[in-house]
Amino acid sequence: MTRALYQFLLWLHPPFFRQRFGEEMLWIYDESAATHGVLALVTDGLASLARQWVMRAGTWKLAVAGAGGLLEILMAGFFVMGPAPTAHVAATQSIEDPAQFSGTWKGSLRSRPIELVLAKEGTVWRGEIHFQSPDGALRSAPLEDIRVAGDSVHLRVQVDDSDMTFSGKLVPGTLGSRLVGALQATADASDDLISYSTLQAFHA
Amino acid sequence: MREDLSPLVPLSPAILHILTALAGEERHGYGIMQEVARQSEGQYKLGPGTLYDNLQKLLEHAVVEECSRRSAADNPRRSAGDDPRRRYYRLTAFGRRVLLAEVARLEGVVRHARLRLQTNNPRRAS
Repeated sequence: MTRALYQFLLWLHPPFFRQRFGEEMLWIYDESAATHGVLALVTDGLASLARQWVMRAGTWKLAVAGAGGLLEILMAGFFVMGPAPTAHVAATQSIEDPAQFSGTWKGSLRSRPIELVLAKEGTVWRGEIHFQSPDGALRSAPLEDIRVAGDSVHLRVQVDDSDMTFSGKLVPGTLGSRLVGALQATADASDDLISYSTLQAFHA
Repeated sequence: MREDLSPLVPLSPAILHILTALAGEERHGYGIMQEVARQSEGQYKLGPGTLYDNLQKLLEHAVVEECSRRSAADNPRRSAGDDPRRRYYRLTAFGRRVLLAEVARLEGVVRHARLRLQTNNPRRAS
């Protein structure tokens, strides 16, 4: 019974360790169970199991990386979807008159929240981008070259040396229209492309 | 050129005992456990999990190597009825230098401790 338990403990070890040392460990168990005591051997086997999976196998690194990635996705999803549709969103018109809408598009860039606020003043579109800089400060910059044609929205924004462009479409919904689109940013130094597809409701 | 032994030295108590057990001759896992118990007069008992966890590390760092079948067959301590699950291990030349470095380090610690104890001895001070 206890030998089967010890065998099961060995079976739980990482495959490489089990294949390399499993038979020897079982042989030692057979040799020393009577003198060492089964409890001591099982306890030692449990400690070995923990050490192998936590310290040696590197599985914990994968688990932490996976959890970090999942957390990032969830955080990004929180900022993308927004905590509540009415908190930051105000719309004047539904999709029937898309040229008159106003509201906030929320997304995230490198896990930092980012907002585009759009409104039409008379015949001119105006807007601002609100974002968190890497040092944690909240910053704003005006939106440039805002073009709304039919249900399509395009705009550009320059922040420091980063040039960002947004392309989106207004999608009809039961409570109003949603602006669905992606923001692309070219980072200044590394010149790598950061892009997020995201959406935000423009509720009535 | 001096070898960089810093990733290995100072040795953990388990590794120090394992290397000391292998310093004299090649041994199988159970033999190492028995020798460690004998060296420490029963004060330090190594379980198979702890032993192979450390042996894995020592094999990776080429401090210890598994004896080849041929070398194993030449071992007079082995009998024809040796359990085929037994594997024998021995110190490499590098492992011997690691053990020597650790012994030298420990000698320094002991020397220093003795010196301190002598200078702080209240009977000597009075």
